[in-house]
Amino acid sequence: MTKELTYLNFLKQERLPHQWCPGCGNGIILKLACMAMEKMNFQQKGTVMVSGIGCSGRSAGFFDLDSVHTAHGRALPVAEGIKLANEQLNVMVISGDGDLFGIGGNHLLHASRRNTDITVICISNAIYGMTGGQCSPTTEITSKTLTTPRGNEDSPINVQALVTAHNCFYARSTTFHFNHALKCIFEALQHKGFSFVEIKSQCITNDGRRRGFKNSYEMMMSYKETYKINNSTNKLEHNEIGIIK
Amino acid sequence: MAKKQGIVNINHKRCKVCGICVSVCPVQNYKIENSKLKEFGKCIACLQCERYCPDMALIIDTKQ
Amino acid sequence: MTKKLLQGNQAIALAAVKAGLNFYAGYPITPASEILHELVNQKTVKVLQMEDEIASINAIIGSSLAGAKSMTATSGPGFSLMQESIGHAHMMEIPLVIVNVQRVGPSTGMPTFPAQGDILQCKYGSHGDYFPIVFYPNSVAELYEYTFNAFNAAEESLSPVILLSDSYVSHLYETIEEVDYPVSKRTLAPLGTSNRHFTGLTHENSKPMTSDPEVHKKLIKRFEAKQKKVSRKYNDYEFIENKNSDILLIAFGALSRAAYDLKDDFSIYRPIRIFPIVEKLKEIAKKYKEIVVMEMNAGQYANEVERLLHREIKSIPILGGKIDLNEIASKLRRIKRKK
Repeated sequence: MTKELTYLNFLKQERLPHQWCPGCGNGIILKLACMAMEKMNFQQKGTVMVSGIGCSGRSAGFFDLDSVHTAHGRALPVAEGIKLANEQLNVMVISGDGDLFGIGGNHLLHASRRNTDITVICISNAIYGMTGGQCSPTTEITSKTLTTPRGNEDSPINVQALVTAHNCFYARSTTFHFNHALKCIFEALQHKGFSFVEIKSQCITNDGRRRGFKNSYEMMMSYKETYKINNSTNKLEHNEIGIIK
Repeated sequence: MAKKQGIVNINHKRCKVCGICVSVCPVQNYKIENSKLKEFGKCIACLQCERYCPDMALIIDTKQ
Repeated sequence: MTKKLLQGNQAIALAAVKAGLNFYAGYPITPASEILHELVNQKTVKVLQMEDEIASINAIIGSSLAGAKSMTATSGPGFSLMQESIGHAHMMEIPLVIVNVQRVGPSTGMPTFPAQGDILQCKYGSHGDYFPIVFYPNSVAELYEYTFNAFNAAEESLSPVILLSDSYVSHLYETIEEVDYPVSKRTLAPLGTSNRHFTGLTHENSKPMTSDPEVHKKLIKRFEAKQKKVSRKYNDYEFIENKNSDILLIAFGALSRAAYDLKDDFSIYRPIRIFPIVEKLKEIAKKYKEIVVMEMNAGQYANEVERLLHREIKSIPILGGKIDLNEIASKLRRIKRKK
């Protein structure tokens, strides 16, 4: 008999396959979130998933929980409203970098300041994937996108500084570092107060393809080469991944 | 110690043939033929493909 | 029954608490700040001062979903910022109360002066089709009463209900009777009890359906029918008939208080539920040769009345926040003469 992947019970499995492109990192992060929730022993009752807009915004709909798909950039205030109205609930946010740092940047600043007990998982793919591959707040400098054909002129946003400025939990990981990412989400869920997990993820269709990657696995391997795990620091370098509590 | 062996269950309804499992497999157990994922029974149950599959299409049963 | 001397904004806050308000998120803005000031002192209400109006309305969307009766209050500029999320709340069917204390616009305008420039924004401000219920009382006692009605209508229709006011009525002190009006119970199950998916996408049974026009048609039709059905319970208007006049004067909010002084010369109709427009107006209007809508904007409601009655409507715009009875009377005389 085929074994059952119990963590998949957090998903509405009848809705699979999801609508994301082949090789998209969102599916891996969906799985990571499920595994972390199972590890935390969360139940369907009492857990709420909130997401914003974009490719990652569609993820809330796949969870077999009460979930809210908010307006663009507004996942954080909605999550705060939920948590403050009912403190018993476990409130998680899954959203993208454009949603959280771009249009919703102001809310990130203030949600971390208020230190509400919510966990944010940011699928950071450095691109606006759903709209065709425009430059996003986390796009690396000199990186080529649809709207930066001569290479991005601006530096990416320093989320770590933004979140840790208010002494909140911040973790960075990638889809390649599967166990590390799981640990990050798990510790973020255990953390009381605002916790933020940024997971670098691959978008092959609208980003990698233009930057010369052949497939999404190559993009994941580039994370392996770029990022080194450093769990004993209070400031991560741009090529390090780890947890800051 | 007996070698671990795995039985691969591919859910073709979910599989989008992205090829991550093909690249991630240490024993080259997978191949894409005619836009369909095929496996060759060489699985050693390392579970890499099960973890990295973004479409939840792979389940690996382990037998000793 | 206790009597109280209250400011308009205080009356809204008091009534909201009595109607079961649990959660308030807002951002300071003249002339609506007093509601926030009043509510922070209430023990039964969780008050959150957010970073902007967009965050405010989204926080109450969240809290309302989590089971708390929720409200926010703002003025024109903040109301403009909220528009996207108001449409969103209509799509997700979330009961909310949004108080809009109007001031002179566009833009920053004249922050301390009253206006009625957000009339059409209430109905058409967000993109797409939605059918909001909007109340516009004209006295402190009515603000108190219609805060109850707004909460009840929100719970019954599962939609954001807008309570309009203006800086004149909201800053007026009047004596009111502290009546305990009936309160509707929450019917929407709170979050964390099931596996529903609330989404702003076109949906059916908690499932996004973004490529089927039939689903969308059905959804919008259902919204329209639902809003119509609930609004029927609140067919509220005031009609002061003057048998000697063949001119019907339509006014609401602060301006309608000035219109009362003209009741010896004109019949006066004052809509209280301004949207959806009370159909009774069709019947009332039949008897009159001339219909005049006066309002503190360039003729927003006049257009809506014209659309309803299919006849020519005279509009008297009162701009700049100053209500001058002489100015109004002379404009009305001119209309009378031309007739």
